[in-house]
Amino acid sequence: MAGLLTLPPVVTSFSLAGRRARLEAEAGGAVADDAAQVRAARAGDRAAFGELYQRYSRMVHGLLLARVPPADADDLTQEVFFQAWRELRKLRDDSAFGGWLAQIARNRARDHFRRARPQDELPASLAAPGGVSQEQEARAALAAIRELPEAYRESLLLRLVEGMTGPEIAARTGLTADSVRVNLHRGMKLLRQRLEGGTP
Amino acid sequence: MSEEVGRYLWEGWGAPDPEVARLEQLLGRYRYDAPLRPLPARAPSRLPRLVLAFALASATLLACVALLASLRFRWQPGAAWAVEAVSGAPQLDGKLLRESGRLGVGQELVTDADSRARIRVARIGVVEVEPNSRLRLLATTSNHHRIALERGKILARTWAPPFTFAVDTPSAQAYDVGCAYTLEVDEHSNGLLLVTSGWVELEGEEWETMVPQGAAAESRPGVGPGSSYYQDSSPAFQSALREINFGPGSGPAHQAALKTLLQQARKRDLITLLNLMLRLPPEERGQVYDRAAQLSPPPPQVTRDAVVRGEHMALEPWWQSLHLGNVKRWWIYWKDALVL
Repeated sequence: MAGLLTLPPVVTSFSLAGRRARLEAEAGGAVADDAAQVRAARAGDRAAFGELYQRYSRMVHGLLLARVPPADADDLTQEVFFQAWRELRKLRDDSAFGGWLAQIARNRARDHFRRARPQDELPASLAAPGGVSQEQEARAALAAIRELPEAYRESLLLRLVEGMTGPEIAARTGLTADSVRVNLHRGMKLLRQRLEGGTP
Repeated sequence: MSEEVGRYLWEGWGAPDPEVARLEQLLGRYRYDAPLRPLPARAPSRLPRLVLAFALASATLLACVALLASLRFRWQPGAAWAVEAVSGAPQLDGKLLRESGRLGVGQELVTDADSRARIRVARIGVVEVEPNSRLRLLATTSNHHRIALERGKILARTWAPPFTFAVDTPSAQAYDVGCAYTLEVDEHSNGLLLVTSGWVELEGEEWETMVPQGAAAESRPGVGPGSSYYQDSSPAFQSALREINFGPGSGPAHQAALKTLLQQARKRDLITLLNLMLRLPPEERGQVYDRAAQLSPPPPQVTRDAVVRGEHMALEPWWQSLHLGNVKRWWIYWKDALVL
């Protein structure tokens, strides 16, 4: 019985299509729920805003991480949500909360970048005397992703750092599923080349 | 990249791509998992602030306007008015006015056939004096300025509260109700008032008539002002009105004039008919009432009986229904102040 549980699932074209549809439907349903939470939060319901935070904090963090040092991304994530909380009345289409929040995050990162130089310079290569620690490896991988074009970098960080699926990324950021799919696949291809030391 | 590997990247499910899985494991350390910090208090909506700012600005503006207006209307009692010669050689208190001078209380300004003059009425207006005119300054204080026009023609334009500026003529007194008008006194001392803006009240000993913009009224010594009429009414209407206002008040000519006037009357001439209802004898009021009601049915509270009985206030709702404007709202003619 235990062995059965560890077996990879039997994949058929039917079940794949069903799972994909379910994933995308779940992501879409989350967006549909946003409007109710946004309305409640606008009226002052902090718990409703807390639910939006649970739903979107990783997206905001991923978008920030694509632009600012990891040490600053956490604080900026909170600031983005504070700003959203204060300016929620400016949001005209409640169902567009994700795209609106993403734009706040991007603008906030741009302002941050203008005001301060990055504190932690990331290493350009994985090679280091005496071996490479996982920490160094992670920093190098992050640096490599941040050198990719913006669209690829955002989608890859949301996928690889924040653990979001492609449909989730599409639903949260407001991008189409096709765009996210392309961003992930092309971004990953470029990243492989860079990590292997090849030129993209 | 096989389809399976692509699926893992897309859905995070299926056979993992080793490199993707390795990157997930490496980069997972940066994954965000912090709780939301306490939310700040929301600033009050900016709308009330804007409304407050707008209200403050409006109040300040109104206060400034009120201050300017009070300064504009303030005038030292008896202070002379500025006068200038526009053409020819007007005479100020018997002396030749070359360019400019001051017209004091009791002093006279006279123009001959070739001269014109312009008088500043304190700070509230201007009087253009046409040729062959004779006028005198009777009084001037902050709230009352008065001249007497013995003969000739003046063009007056003032902007001030009602009854601040008055012109006495041999047959009536014209009281400014915030307006522009021309007033003429001929060699027989008959008066003619034409109003171009606002209202003027023309008063005699027995009668008074309100003259709105676009209307006129005549006056005769010993009778006072006649009923006002619109300047675009027919000549026959005006001639008949003259007979009714200044004729003997009875007889065939009077009856014919009344018939012509009622026939010629348009809806717009209701101001004349309403005024006449108060001036004519009771036996004729009914005829005028019937024609007026035909042209514009009166409000329900106006009854024929009350009008025939000569009850003054009986006509008030009918006047109001003409929407000729409220004489108390003199300030709406503010454009008259711009050309002063």
